[in-house]
Amino acid sequence: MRTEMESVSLKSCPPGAAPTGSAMERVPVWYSARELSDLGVERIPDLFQLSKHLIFSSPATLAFNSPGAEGFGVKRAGLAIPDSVMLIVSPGCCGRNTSEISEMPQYRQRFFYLEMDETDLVTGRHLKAVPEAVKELAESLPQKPSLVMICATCVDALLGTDWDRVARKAEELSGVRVRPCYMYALTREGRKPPMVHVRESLYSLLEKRKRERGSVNLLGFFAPLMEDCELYRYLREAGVSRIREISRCRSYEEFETMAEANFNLCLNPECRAAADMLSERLSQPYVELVRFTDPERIHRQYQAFGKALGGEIRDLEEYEASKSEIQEVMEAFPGRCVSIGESMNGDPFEMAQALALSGFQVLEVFGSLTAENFHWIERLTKISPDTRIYCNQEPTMLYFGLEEGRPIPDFTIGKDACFYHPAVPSIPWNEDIQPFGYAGVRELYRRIRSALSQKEPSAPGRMPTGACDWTAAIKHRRTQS
Amino acid sequence: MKGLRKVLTPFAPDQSGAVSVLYALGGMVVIVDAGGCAGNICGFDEPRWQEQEVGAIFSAGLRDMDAILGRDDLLVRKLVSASGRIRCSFIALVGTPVPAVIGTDLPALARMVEKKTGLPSFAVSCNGLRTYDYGLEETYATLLKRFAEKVPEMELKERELSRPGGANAVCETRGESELPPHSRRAVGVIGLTPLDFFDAAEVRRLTSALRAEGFEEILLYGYEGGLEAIRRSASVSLNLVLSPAGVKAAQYMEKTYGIPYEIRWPVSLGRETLERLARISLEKAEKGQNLRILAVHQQTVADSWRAEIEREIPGAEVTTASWFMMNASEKRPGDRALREEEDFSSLVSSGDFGAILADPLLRELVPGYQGVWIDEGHFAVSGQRVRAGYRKALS
Repeated sequence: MRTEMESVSLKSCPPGAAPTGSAMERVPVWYSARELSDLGVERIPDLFQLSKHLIFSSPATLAFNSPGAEGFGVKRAGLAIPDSVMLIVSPGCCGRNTSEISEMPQYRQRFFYLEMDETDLVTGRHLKAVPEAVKELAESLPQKPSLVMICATCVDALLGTDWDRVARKAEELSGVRVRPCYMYALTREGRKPPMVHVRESLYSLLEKRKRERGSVNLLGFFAPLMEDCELYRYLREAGVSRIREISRCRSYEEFETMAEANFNLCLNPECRAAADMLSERLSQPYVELVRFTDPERIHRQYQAFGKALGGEIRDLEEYEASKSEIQEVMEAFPGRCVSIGESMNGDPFEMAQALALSGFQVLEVFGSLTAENFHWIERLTKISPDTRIYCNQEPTMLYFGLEEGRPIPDFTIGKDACFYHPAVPSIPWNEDIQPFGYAGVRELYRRIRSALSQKEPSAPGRMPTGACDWTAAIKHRRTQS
Repeated sequence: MKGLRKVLTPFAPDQSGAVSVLYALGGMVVIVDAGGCAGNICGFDEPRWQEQEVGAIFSAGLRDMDAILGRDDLLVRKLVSASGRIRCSFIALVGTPVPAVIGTDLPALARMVEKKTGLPSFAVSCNGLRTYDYGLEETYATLLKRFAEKVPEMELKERELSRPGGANAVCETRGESELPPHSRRAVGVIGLTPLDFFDAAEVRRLTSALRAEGFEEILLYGYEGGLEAIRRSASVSLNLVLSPAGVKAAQYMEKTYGIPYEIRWPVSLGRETLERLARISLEKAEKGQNLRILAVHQQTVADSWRAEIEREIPGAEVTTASWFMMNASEKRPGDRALREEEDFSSLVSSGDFGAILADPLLRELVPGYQGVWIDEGHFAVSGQRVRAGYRKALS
C-alpha cells in the first residue's frame, strides 16, 4: 500500500527516529505495524513520543492535548456531582472555550470564573480572593450548590499553589464543600494526568460508611454504560443488588451512598488511582475490567471475573450473539477496509486487532502509541502487518490527504478518522453513553452494517491548506467527491 | 468583586487575537503552551480552522519538566525539526501564560530559530491575561515592520503630491475621505479579524463599501492575500483601521512610508436597525425627550455606529462603551471603558438608555432593563457563534 517514495523515505530513516526524507514532499509520516513491531517497545520512534515534536492541532489533539476541550474533559468531569458548580480560577484564556459547554442545558449556570491579572501572577494575591469569591458565588445562586469545584490551570501548577489549603479556607468561609481539580495540561504525561486527578478529586468526597453486601460501584466513566450492557445482569445474577454509577446519581446524598459499596469495578485505567484511593480510605477493594472489541477476550475476562466473585458468569448467549452479529456483517461486507482513529470510546490498537481478526482490512490507525499499548501492535502485526500507524499529533499530519494515490477506506471509526476521510461513511463512536462488553460489540457491528449500507458521504469535504498547496488540495477534494 | 464573573464567560485572549492575524499568512504558527491554549484557539476562537481550512498551527507541547528545567533548547530543536518538514514562509512564536510565568525570552528564541532555519522568525509576546486586541495590536505592528517592502522613492513622491496636506497630515475622518478619488486606488485594511467580524457576509459588505468609495484594490491584511499582501502594504494610498488595535501599526506605516490612515468601520448598521431606532426616537420626541442609545462593541465599530445614528436620526444621543482598548483621542465625554460585570450593569442603570446595541449575552447582566435591546453579536465577547451571527443572518 505504501508508495515507492514513502518506502524510500522510511528505509533511509534510522530506527527510532522519525523519517524525514519525504518531509518537503508534504506527506504525513507513518510506520507500518510490522516496522514498529520489529523496532520493539524499547525503540518506539520519535514520531510517537510527544515530547520530541511540536503538537499538531488536529481534531483528535483537541481532546487529547487540551484537557478541558472536548468530550468529558476536566471541566465537564469536574461537574459530575449533582448540583455542583465550578469556579475556574485562571487567566482568561483558560476558560474561554467553556462558553460552548455552558450552552448545554445541563451546564447552564454551573460555570463561573475568577480571572487572574498580571499582578495576581506576580504576587499570587488571587488566592486570597478565592474564598471570598466562593462565598459570594454560593450566596448569589438561587440554590446552595452541593459542591464548588475549583478548577486550577497551568499557571498555578507552575506557582506551586496548595489548592487543598485554599479549598479548605473557602469551605470554612462559605459553608459549602469545596474541592480542587486540576486542568494542568503541563502534566499530561505525568504520574497523575488531569483526567486521573479529577476522578480522584471527585471520589475523595466519599466519607467512610458501613459497607453493604451486594453493592458495587462502576468507576471510570462520567456517563452511564449503555442500558443493555450485560454486565448489569451478570452482577445481579452474582448476587449484587445495588449497582451505582456517578452519572446515575440524582443528588449529592445519592452520590454519598457510593461509600457503602462492597467493592468497586474499575472500567477505565484512568480511574485506577481513584480506585486505589478508595481501597485505602474506605476499604473498598476493586476489580479492573478492560473494554475489548473481541468477543473471545470479553468471554475470557468474564470467566476470570466470575471466578473472582466466587462463581461463574453464564455469558454463552451474549457471546454467541456477538459472534453471529460479527459473522453476519462480515458475510454481507467481506474484506471491507477500515480506518480507525483514537477520538472514540475504545483503544484504537485493540479495536484494530479485533477488527482485523474479524476479517476487515485495517488500512490505518491514528493513535498514541505508548509502552502500555504496544502489545496490541505486536498482535496486530501477526494478522495485518501492513496497517499504517499514524500519530495524530505529529506535525506532518497537516498534509494528510494530499498524497497522490493514497488508499481510501470503505468506512471510518472515530471522530478523527472521519476528519481525515470526510467522504466515506463514518462511525464517530464517541458518544457520552459508554459501550462495554458484548453489548458494545454488537452495537459497533450494527453501526458498521449501517455505515456500509450508506451511499452518501457522512460529512462535507474539508482539506488541510494553511501552508499547503491549494491546487493539490482542490484536486484531492475533486478526486474524493 | 474584581475578576469574578457570574454571567459572562472570558473574552477572547491575546493569543487568539495574534493567531487570527497570522492564520492565513502561510507561516508556521507555534503557540508556546502546554496544549490547552492551542486547543482554545483551534477548537474555539478560530472559525477558519473549524469550518474552512486547517492552518499550520502547532502547540509547543510544553510539559512540567520543560518549564521547571527551562529546556528552551528542546523547543528550538522541535521548531527546527518541524520547519524541515512543514513548508512555511515564516515561523511565529505566540506566547501564553506558561512562558509568561517562567520568563521565557521568546524574541531570543525566535532569533535562534531564524539563525538555524534561515526562515524569518518572530515572537508575539502574549500572556493569556490580556484580551484579544492586545494580540492583534502587537501582531499587526510586528508583521508590517518586518515584512512591508520599501516603495520606490518616485512612487512615494507621487503619493505625497496626490493628497491634500502632504504626508504629515493624519486623516482621521469618519465620513467621506479627504483624499481625491484618483489617488484612492489601493487601500490596506488593518484590524479585520473573525473575532470582531465573524460572518463572511460582513467581510463582503466591507469590501463592497470600499469599492463604492472608489478603491480598486483592497488588501485585507491577515485575512486574505497571505504574506504577499503584507509585503505590498507600503504601496497603498490609504490604511483603513477597523479597531483601536490597528492604530499602532497604521501609525508606523504613516511615519515610515507616509501612508495616511482613517479609523472607521465603513459598513452600515443596516436599514432595519436604523428604522427601528428612528421609530423609538419619534416616540421619545412625542414625549419631549431625546433618545439615548448605548452602543457596546470594540471602540471603532461602536463609534462608527454612533456617527451613522447621529447622522440619520437627529436628536439621538449615543454613548459608546467597550470591554477592550479605547483610544483616549477617540473618546467622547461619557464613553466608558468596561472591566467588571458591575461596570456594565451600573452604566445601564444610571444611563436612562432607550435602546442598547450590544451582544445578547450582556442582556443577562441587566435583567430589569426596560428599553429596546438590539442584538449586535460580538464573538470576542460572548464566544457564541449563533448569537454573533444573529444580526448578519437576518440581514
